[in-house]
Amino acid sequence: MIPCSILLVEDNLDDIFLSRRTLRKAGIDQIAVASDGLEAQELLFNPVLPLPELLILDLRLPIIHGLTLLTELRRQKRTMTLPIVILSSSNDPKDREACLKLGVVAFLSKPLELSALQQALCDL
Amino acid sequence: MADLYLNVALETVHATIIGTIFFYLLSHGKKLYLYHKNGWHFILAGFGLLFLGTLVDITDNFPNLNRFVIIGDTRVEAFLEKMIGYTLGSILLAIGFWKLLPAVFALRTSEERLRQIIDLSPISMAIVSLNGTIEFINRRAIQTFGYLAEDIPDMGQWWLKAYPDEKYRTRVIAKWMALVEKALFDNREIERSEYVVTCKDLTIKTVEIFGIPVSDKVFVMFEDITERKRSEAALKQSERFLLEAQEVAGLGTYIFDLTLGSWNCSVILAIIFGIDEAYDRSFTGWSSLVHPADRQGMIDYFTNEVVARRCSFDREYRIIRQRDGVVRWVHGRGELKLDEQGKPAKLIGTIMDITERKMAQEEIRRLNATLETQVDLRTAELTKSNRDLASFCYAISHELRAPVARLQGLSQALQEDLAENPAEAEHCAKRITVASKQLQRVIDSVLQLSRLSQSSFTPHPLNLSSLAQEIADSLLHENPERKVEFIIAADISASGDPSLLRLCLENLFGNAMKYTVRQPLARIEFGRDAASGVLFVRDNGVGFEMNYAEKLFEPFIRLHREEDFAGSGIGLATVMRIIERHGGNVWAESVPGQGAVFFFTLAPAQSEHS
Repeated sequence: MIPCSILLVEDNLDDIFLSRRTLRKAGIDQIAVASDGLEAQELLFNPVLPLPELLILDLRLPIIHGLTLLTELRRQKRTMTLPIVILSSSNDPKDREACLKLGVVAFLSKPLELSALQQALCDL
Repeated sequence: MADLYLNVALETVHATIIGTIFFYLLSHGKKLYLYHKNGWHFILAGFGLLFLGTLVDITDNFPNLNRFVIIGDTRVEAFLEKMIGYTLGSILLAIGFWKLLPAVFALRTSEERLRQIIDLSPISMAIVSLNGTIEFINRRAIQTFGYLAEDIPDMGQWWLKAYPDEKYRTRVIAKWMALVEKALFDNREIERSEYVVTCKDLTIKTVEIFGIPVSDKVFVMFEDITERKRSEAALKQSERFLLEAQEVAGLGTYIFDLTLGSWNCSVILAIIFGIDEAYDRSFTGWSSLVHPADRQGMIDYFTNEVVARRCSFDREYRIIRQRDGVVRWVHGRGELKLDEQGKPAKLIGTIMDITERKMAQEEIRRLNATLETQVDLRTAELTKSNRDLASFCYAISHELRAPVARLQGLSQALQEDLAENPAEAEHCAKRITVASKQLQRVIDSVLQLSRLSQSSFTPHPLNLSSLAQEIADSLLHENPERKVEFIIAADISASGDPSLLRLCLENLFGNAMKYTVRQPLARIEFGRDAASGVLFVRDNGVGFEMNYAEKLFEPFIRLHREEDFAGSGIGLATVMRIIERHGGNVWAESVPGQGAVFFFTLAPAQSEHS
């Protein structure tokens, strides 16, 4: 299944550029971008706006850390079951473990690779 | 006529003989050992009457003396001469001798007995007549000196042999004669005196000689005190050694008489206590020497433990030395001596000044205590720095991985786009340059921070105002397009490492420059709060939420999007490390959109105090 709407939470413009490029290759065009944790929270918790089908979340974000945001999302009813893929340059096993415990679809390393993305989408 | 003269001459001779005997007995009687015996007075009276008779007998040759009635050729004279003089005198003499003779015989036997006793006496003795003849020396004396009776027939020989040194002999003879004369005069014994006698075998003995004059003899007694002298000298020497040892050890001794309630102490103890002769040597005298803080405890110990339970005294306590009021530590020991009824009679013991030892112990204890706190402090510092290092490594690995991953992605995209999408390929190439510069900046600042932790620290008095001015000038020079107003307070001085404080101010001013980039006129102020002396860097930039005030100083934490304000992510971590190394604090205050203030303190400049 290929999600048609995706929210990408990422602050670095180059990383956004690279992620968009890979997503496009996977056939996903509806990509919204939040450039920090707070902005993402506002978009996701706004009852007027529809939820994206998939959230791609960086961990090292300004203002609100990715892990903090993830914990908050899992606590809120609205976003409790939202499919989330972590895309981080971290390969720290502690981060990975913490994220998987909070029920993320996949923990991917930057740069986003097409094959890894497709594998994760299959798991959805 | 011739008959008359012959008669007078004969009678005078007769009277003279009788008179001489009478006066001799009368005057020397006291010295003769018969003096106190019975019959002596009868003999004296008998001779007296005989003498009277002979005197009166002479007068009857001269009839012209008859007018005197009692002398001359009269009846009265005849009565005096024949009846009173000769008859009564002879009767009295007979009575006297009758009474005296047994005593004389008894004396002869007792004198022999006496010689026997003297001979066997364990005391060396000699009998010397007043004319200097040595009549007798006993066995003991022969044993003691080795001289036989024939060696020393008289005092002259004795002196010559016993005192071979002429000078000493002269002195001894003079002394002895004087003592004998005094004894005879006072009619008492010859005073005991010390003499150094040379024996027959030439050994030298110290002897005390004394004696008793008895009629015309002197009983001389000798006491050999050589051994006593020697042990006295040995005792004196060991006493002196003991005293010296006590003095060296600072060990005083005491005897506390519990029945009298008073004590005596050695000279050393008086010095330890700093007391003089007049000091009250009673129980109260002792307890008032004890330091007030220890006093009640020591009184209780003495009464309840030592005396009541018959314990040995063994305590370390403080005293106030009376001489100078200085507090000294002493160690008192004592053994209780009980009387026949088992009651404590005396406490005998020692008191030692142990102040120096106590002080050394105290010093060791103090050092140990501070050592422990120091170890605790260091351990805490080390634990914190280990924790810091772990979180720093985590942060730095991410901070390095992010640009590397970016470079990886961009270069892959570049390869793919090169043929079909030249415009995007160009974009990728440009971004690769930016990303690699970013990577370099991170690496540089991490290196700087690590050098900062290692570099040696040398504090100097510094003029921070001129340092700040230099940094401001170079920032203005590097950013000619920016309109920035630097307000730097004059004459701010501090003590610190010049290169570290330069780095600190560069970071703070650099931050201020960065976050005021959107201001048409940036204002950056460096000053010192007049009241608290706290230093500050104030800007009119974007500021931050106070919730994040503490996070600011953690490495690689960003409050703003990277695109908005580029930076290494460890500038403020560096500032914090520098300030902490100077023993100061750093903190920040801000209202978003209204600028930020970074406060910091440093150890004050030495020059400000001196």
